[in-house]
Amino acid sequence: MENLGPTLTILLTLVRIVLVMTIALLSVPVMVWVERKVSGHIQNRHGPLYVGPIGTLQPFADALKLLLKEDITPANVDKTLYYLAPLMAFVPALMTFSVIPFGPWLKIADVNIGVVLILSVSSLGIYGLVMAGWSSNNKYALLGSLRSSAQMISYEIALGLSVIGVLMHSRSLSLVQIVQRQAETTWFVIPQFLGFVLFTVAAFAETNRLPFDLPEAEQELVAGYHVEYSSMKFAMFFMSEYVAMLSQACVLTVLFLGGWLPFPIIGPLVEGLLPAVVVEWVMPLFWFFLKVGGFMFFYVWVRWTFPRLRYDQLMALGWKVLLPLALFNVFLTGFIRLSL
Amino acid sequence: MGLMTNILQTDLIKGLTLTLQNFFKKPVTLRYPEVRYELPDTFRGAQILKRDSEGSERCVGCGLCPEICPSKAITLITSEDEEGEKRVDFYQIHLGLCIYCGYCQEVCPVDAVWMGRDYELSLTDPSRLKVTKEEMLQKGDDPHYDRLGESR
Amino acid sequence: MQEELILGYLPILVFLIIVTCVGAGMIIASALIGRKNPNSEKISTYECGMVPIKDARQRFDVRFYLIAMLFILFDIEVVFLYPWAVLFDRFNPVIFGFIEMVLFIVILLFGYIYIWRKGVLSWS
Repeated sequence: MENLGPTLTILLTLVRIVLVMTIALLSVPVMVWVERKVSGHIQNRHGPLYVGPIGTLQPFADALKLLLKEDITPANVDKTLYYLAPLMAFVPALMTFSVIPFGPWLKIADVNIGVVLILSVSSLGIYGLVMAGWSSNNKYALLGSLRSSAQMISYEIALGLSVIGVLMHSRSLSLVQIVQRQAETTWFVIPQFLGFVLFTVAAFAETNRLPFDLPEAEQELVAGYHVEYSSMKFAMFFMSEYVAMLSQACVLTVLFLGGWLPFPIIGPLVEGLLPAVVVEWVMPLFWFFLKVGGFMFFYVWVRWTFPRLRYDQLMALGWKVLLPLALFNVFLTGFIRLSL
Repeated sequence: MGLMTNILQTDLIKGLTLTLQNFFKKPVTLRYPEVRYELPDTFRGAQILKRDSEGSERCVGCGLCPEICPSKAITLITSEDEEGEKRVDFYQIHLGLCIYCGYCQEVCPVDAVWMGRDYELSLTDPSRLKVTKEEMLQKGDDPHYDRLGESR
Repeated sequence: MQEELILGYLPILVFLIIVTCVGAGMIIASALIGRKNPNSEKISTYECGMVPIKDARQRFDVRFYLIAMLFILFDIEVVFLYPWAVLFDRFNPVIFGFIEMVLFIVILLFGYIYIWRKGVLSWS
């Protein structure tokens, strides 16, 4: 790719950008559909059925409805921040995809600080929530955004610390090299199981999913920080939440589950049956999205299994359990690598 | 550190197994307009009137059903014809008042009024809640009426 | 080499611009397409149907500030650990890097135990 000449390189990059954006944005309706369908079946219901085949077009219909809804701007809001907030939530959520490699060929950029970039960009999303809560001038929104930001920054430490063990194995911050390192050795979920569990828990909290959905806690805060938002601005918060879920699942896949690498044993068997072109171009994406999809299912599965934590429990879990455990994991990994 | 022991315990796994089991169960919700609930034999829907073997209406206008009806949903007006025989001039059940208790069917000495199987009774026009004798006879005459409410 | 490094970030910049445009476009599009007939009830602050009592921007719990400060401290610690973790195998001898980091973490642990004992981390 390096010697293709500037014009073709730029064109290829643009094509990749468009592809990644399409994947990220199209995954939202898919995830919404999966969530509603799985939720339904866990509760012995059917889930969406009527719009499109087995309800697959339901999220699109919802999106269209949101677009055509009346855009209400409440009287007491801080206009500038109020309009900027959905953008501030939406852009960082999508920006994490700039360094996530979906496959060996489908990635926007491979920079040598990939992991740091993802962590820093995704924490920028907090600004969106804080701005939304503050500008709305609504008590529910303010409380929701305060809770949300306190929760997200608390779990971000655990999230950041749980990655360190992976970095000690991979010797690189580049996501592509992390996957390549896993190809050479083994998926990092095996040597880093504690890190994997910690990362998963922190990822749930970071994306405000149940059992950590206190920022939105319908029963007490009605909807949290986006209570005053309607129409497309609400949809943007909604989308950025789902995109953030997807990006966390992608990061988890890259760091712990071997990214686009095929499953051991089954992978080579399946790939042996397919032509070489498919194996090279399609199968990496297939494995990647299989893993991500599995994790998305896990999101919904957990949602309907565990009750919501109380706020003091949430803070205690983040600061008194996950943080010491993550530090212990760093220590443990160092010790093991030292003795090898 | 109750929280720590919670994490190390198997409760989380147990909960996850339970929800996963439910995920693979058949949904209990019916796809209502297409799939219908199989009505029990004792189901009590909107009333119908039946005819005797000669084709004339069974109701003799005895007046027991308006008497026993707890919600006073039944109106009955009778008169005598030239031969001194009782004739039912007007018979009406107000379905908005009816509580579908089935007493009218129980009390009827000639088995004229029956609790039917029709439960889709929502209307946009409240005046149509008052069902007259003719409509109920018509429902009783319908040979397919017994299957009403089940899978179409 | 330097040039290549910066060029590597160029796609990210392009992506940022495109994403921002798409996001801004969605806000503008809904402002243009959506119906608009506000009334005083509709645009009043939502408080479950009650007339809002006072401004929402009042004082809130000081512990939120404490959490924010602790976050900065610990997040910097995490960032310090990153280059160390990447270079872990290349310390000579390796035990040197390990002991160094143990010392670093122990110093922070003192602060951590202090804030725990002070009760900053308990919300009850």
